[in-house]
Amino acid sequence: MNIIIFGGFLGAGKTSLILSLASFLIQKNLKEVHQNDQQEVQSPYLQSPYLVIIENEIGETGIDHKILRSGGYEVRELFAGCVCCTLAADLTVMLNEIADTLKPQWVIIECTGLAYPGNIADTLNRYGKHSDPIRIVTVVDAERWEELAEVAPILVEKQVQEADVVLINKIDLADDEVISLVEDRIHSINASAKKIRLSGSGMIPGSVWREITGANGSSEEVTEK
Amino acid sequence: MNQRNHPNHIEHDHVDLSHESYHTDHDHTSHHAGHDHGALLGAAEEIPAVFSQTLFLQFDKDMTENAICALLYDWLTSIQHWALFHHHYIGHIKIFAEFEEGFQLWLSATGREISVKNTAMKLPKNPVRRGTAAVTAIVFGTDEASLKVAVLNGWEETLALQSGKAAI
Repeated sequence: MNIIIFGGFLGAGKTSLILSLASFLIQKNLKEVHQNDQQEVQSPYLQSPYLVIIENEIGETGIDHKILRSGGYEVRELFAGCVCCTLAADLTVMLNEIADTLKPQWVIIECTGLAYPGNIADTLNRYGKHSDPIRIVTVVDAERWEELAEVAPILVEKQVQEADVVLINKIDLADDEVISLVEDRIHSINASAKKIRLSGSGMIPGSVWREITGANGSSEEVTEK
Repeated sequence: MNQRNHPNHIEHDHVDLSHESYHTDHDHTSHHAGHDHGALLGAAEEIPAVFSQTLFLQFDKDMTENAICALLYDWLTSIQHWALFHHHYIGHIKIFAEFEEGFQLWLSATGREISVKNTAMKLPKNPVRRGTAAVTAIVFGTDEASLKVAVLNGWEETLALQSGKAAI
């Protein structure tokens, strides 16, 4: 079971990018199933969802899970708290239950914009039943980076620090000079993370999701569903 | 497992937001509900006020999809204006509204442009009179009581302006 934790500040564009990634994964699975059908090989995952999205929201009323569910995806919700702190135990129980019952190939966890994704990975690595390494993707809002660095410096810095991949989003809303400054700052915080510039409002190249998922494939483009 | 926070145990508020009045029996008692990084990371000041409720929308006349979209857009704009006027910092404001015939609108903003999407890609064939709106507003530099008043008053004022009445 592959797990990707999507972190990043409020309004950075996590949900839109997850829609795009989910679309990529489902298309990839459909191709694999089609190939298997032609070879008359049955996948053990055909009877269960290929992808489960765990949606965590700080408010008591969720919104993002409705958006993801309207895309046709299997979604589980954790509301009224944050899975990096107050709902850490709930997330672990939920994930272990998913691993036992649904056995999906992929689980995407969308954190609240206030979460420290590294805390979540630590908890799941300690108490989770999965065996595959967890990938942390942090989405950064290029347009608001400088403001956020003032308003919530510890939070945004730690979200970047803990990432394996940093998606520098909304590059269509910031000029090249600003984007370069953001990229330099991110590099100074986390030199080892892969940095990718993109705009969630447009087409996301398949290469972005292949980089994150480790998938092979052609250079087709995908966008949110 | 924390029963209060478990999704199966959440009781959504349904607030009647007709032209005449709205009411709610729900109040957040904690300033920063549902989030606690403690003092370890020294991030207490970085935690915002949160307003999050499902509201029942009742219109006193038939509404087209464009009129509903404009209404929700103006509502979100009013919350943004309130926050900016008081020098609060907007984390995120989101509205997900659902109406008859599967018509859905998703609006979101971070203090700049407002994004509007028809998530189900469906338009109502008939005029709309009622629906629900899940609203989450996350704002830094204010408290939950003030934020709640701003969101709910914003709706009343938007409705009043839309129907040609003077704003409250």
